[in-house]
Amino acid sequence: VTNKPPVNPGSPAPPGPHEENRYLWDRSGPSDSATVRLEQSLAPLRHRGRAPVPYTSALLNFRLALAAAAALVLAAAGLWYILHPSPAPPAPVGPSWAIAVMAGAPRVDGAKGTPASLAVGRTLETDADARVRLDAGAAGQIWIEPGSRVRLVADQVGVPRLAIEHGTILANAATGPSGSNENSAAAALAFDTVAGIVTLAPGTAGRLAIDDRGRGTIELKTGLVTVRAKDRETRIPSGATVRLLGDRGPGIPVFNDAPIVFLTALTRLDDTEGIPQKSKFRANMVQEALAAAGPHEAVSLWNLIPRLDPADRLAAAERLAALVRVDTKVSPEGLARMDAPAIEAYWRAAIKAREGGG
Amino acid sequence: LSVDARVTAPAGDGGRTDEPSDESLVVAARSGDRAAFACLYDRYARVVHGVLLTRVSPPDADDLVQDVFLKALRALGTLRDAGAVGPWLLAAARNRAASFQRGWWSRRVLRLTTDPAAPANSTGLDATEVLAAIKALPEAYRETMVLRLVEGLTGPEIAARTGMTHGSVRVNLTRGMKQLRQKLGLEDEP
Repeated sequence: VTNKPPVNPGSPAPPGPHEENRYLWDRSGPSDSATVRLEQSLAPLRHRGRAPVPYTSALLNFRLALAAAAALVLAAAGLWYILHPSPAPPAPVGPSWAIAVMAGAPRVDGAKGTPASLAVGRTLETDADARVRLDAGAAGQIWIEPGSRVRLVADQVGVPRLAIEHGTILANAATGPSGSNENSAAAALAFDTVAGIVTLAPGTAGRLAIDDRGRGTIELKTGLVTVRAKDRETRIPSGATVRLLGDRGPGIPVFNDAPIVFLTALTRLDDTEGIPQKSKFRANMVQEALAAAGPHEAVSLWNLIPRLDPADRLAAAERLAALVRVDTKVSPEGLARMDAPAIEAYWRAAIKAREGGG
Repeated sequence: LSVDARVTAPAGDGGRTDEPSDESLVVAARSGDRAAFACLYDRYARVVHGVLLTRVSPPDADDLVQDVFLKALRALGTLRDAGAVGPWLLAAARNRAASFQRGWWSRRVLRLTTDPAAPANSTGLDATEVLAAIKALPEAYRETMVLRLVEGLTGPEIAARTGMTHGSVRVNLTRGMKQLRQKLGLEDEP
């Protein structure tokens, strides 16, 4: 615990309460136009959250009572199971998603007789004939296609998300509150895969297919998906496709209408990332991709840049800058350095270019 | 809020003399008083958010505020000086931001927007750019500037909540604002 102020008390004495500083100090005195402009421009970033719900003693007592009751129920259930063995799993506890069986006979934890909901820790499996819909509350809906195996897991604070071991899922992320992003995090639909954590923005609809080694594809109909892996973020906008490369993470998102030379070059770059012996080959592929890229390929270039060695990023950033128009004062050099404002400005520009506005 | 927690705050506490003191709120929160914890949250959430905002992106800062307070609640029993809860929370926020930056594994929520920029406004200044300029200021000025310009706290409030002296806050604001004006080309504005 530290109570040390950032400025040493022994530093030079502060200036006196000059008239021009009074507004900055406590908003008294005549307003300073620059300060007011800064306040107004930064206001959207101000904190607007609500207090988290803590454990109170009453709640703890209730939980202890609940735990004791649960222990009694489990003991009774155990006794009953010994006397009347049954393949049906015990009732779920903790967060769960409602299950709707669309076809066939899915299994939960290997047992037939699907329960009404999938609880955290439980595994759901569909054979060649089974299809299931999961209702993830405010986050949206997920369809588990035949031949899939998924497990509901929870993050550190108990928010459930689906770990996909293999199979195909279709997902519809619910639309967030209109005009506000405040609750979009709580409503985001996320999936654990070997290739990274896949998150659907509110309003996104897409398809994810993956094998048991984490290789597969993500295709988007609408919205935006990000995949976080290897300390970087891959963004897949509406209409794009990305390959999942197992524990190597996601590949570079592409649109199927891209020039074939461009698609081929990106595929080869995906396949050779992290292989030092292929550096010369990769440099050639980068040149081919940059030469073949048009404004519609800007999204792919944006995703390509962080995958390149730092020394090679500037050429790609300059090519991207030549294809799009940014709306703020950022430079290709900033993008090559991976400066956050440049990254975001070029992302917006790349999306506009893809939509024909840039 | 329990009766015990309704104690007058110490003088010079940023103009909240009719509110319960930090010390009484901490004592009440430790004993499970949910309203006292909510009071602490209301008092310090903007400060914690501001500290986080100097270190992580705005969406991540929103998420980490909840983290910091939930962990702080669990650790309230370890706080030796209940009156120093403000600086203690700030240290917790700085530590949480540092651990968050060390690896994406620790991120519990991945927030997405189709347009990560702040909404357009009529000032002609882009919030993302201004925040980046503040983050480029000397470290000593960043938190104070964010607390004043983003979170809307006054100088006395910043001093009361962070444990800094009024003089330190005033120096940070004056010098930070001068440098920020230069960075953003606002030197000529009155």
